[in-house]
Amino acid sequence: MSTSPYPAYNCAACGGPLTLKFRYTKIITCPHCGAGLFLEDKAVKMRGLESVMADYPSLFSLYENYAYKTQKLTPIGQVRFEYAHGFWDEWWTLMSSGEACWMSVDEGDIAIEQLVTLDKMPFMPDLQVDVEIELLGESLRVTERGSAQCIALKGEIPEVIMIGDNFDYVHLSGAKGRLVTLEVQNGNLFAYEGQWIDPFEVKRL
Amino acid sequence: MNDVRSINCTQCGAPLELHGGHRTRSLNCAYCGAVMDSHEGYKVVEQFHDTLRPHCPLHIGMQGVLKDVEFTIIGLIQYQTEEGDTWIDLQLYSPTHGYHWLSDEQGHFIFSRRVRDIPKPAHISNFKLKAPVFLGKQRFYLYEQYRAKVQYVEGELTWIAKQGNWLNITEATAPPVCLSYENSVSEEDYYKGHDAHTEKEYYYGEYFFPNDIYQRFSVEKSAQDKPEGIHMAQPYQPGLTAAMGQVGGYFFWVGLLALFVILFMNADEQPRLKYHFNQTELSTPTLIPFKVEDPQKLLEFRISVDRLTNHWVAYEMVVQKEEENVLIVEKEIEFYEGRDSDGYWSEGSREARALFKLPAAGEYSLSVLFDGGSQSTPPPLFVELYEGVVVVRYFLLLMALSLLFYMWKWFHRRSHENRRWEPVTEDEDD
Repeated sequence: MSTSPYPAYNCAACGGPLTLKFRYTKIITCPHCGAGLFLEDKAVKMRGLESVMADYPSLFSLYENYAYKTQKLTPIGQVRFEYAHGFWDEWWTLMSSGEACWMSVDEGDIAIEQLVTLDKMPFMPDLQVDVEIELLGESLRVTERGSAQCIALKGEIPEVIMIGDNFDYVHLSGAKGRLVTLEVQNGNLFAYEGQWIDPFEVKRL
Repeated sequence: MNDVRSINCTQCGAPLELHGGHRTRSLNCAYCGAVMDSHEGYKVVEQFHDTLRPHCPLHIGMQGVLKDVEFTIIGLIQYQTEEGDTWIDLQLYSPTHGYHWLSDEQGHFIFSRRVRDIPKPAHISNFKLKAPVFLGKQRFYLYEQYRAKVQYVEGELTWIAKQGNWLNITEATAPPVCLSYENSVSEEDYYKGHDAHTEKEYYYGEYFFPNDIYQRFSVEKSAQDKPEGIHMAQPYQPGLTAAMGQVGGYFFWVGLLALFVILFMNADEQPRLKYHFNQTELSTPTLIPFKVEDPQKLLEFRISVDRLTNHWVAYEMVVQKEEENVLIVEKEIEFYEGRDSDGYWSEGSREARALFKLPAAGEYSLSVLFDGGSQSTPPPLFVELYEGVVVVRYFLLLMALSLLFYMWKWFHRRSHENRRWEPVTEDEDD
């Protein structure tokens, strides 16, 4: 019997049961055989190109619980992106508030962000480093822009991301550790807003 | 474990070790002073001239655990203030917690990390010594505002340092932590007086005692420096005497409370015996009965004479139980008085006391006999006997000693605080 309240699936490769932690999961790694899988309505398909998530020291591990201030955080998916100077991890994380977020971790720099809808998307080529713009009701400054490629993923992911997918991104920073990320993938622009968090305030439960 | 890689300086070819992660921005050659951009294929982008490697007991490549996280020292910067004082900032790296700083300030160590919260006020344009500033709910007191320039760099840093770059710094303290407002200024802007438009960064620092740091980073005894003075964030650490003072404080307050309790409990004490011996009774043994209830308790005779001036008298007090002598106490009373060129004077007392214990509870009798003196007839004697007497004079002596230690601790702590603020108070006086 599955203990998950979400739809039940079986691995397309080994037939093992897949227990979802998040209702809207689109991609999952089979916990039994490690196969990468797509979830489409009631169908489960093989993802094709597989990747190995190299083991580097990290504050977070999949399915472990962490405390940050009053929130409990549980990462259930991990996507690794490579960029010009190295790599960073995006952790798809369930929060005790019932929401979910992306937790970006790059050598001790940790940011928590959630998808946000903008009334008007800024023109990406204008957003060069140090440019200041008004966005989401506050003044933000472009602190980084670059391109990244997905090189590995693991666990449950709510979006369809493929190994080798490329993204252009812009980080904008505001007061009190505010962070907005604009991301372009296949011509679509997504915005995420959130804030930096102090790694010394994250405790493993 | 630290993953050590190495490259050769792209200017002089010297072998350089790499200890940091991918977010380091520059590699600084200790041999030729070249500053290389880590993100541009280690291209030389700056050059330091005529710099001497500063002394520091910690060096690049050392590892130590701070706040349960293992850090590696990957870089070093020496700053010099306008007044010529110097200190060293060591760049630390942890794969899980990122990049932070360990400052060596005259042998004192501060572990600091950047905070994203903005203190209140966010800018200190009108510096006032000891004015409060807040980071969240934590209150700090402004300590110093000064400028310093980059003097020397070595190893990997998360930014590209330039010789002569200036840093505006405002520091506030709340021992054992401190808060620092920092913004950098280029040499050109420094001399033009343009510095208000650069981004301000805030750092939260925690004081570490030198011996603690040397132990954490396994620094050999011979390489260790002794700290100078009291650091602004150095917490008060009681020495042995001050620790005794703390104990003395507890003793004093507990003792004071106990004294009040004793005085309160004995406030309505009634004598077991109260008797006025006249001349006849002092010449012929007269037995006065009394009762002792608890032999564990201390007994006290309080004797006094009304009419005794410029004489001494001696009495023998005999306590009997069932016609057997169980205690003999001899007491002298002497009292002298007069007038001279300085006025009235007196010596001695018309009263005396004697403490004693009796072997068992029960009925006893007391007789008092005149035992001679400077006058032939004894003055009448008033005798009281109390049971359960508490001798407070040793108690008071102990309390006085406790108070002395307690006061010493208070002075010790006050002296520490004075020494903490002395350097900046002197500046203000100037």
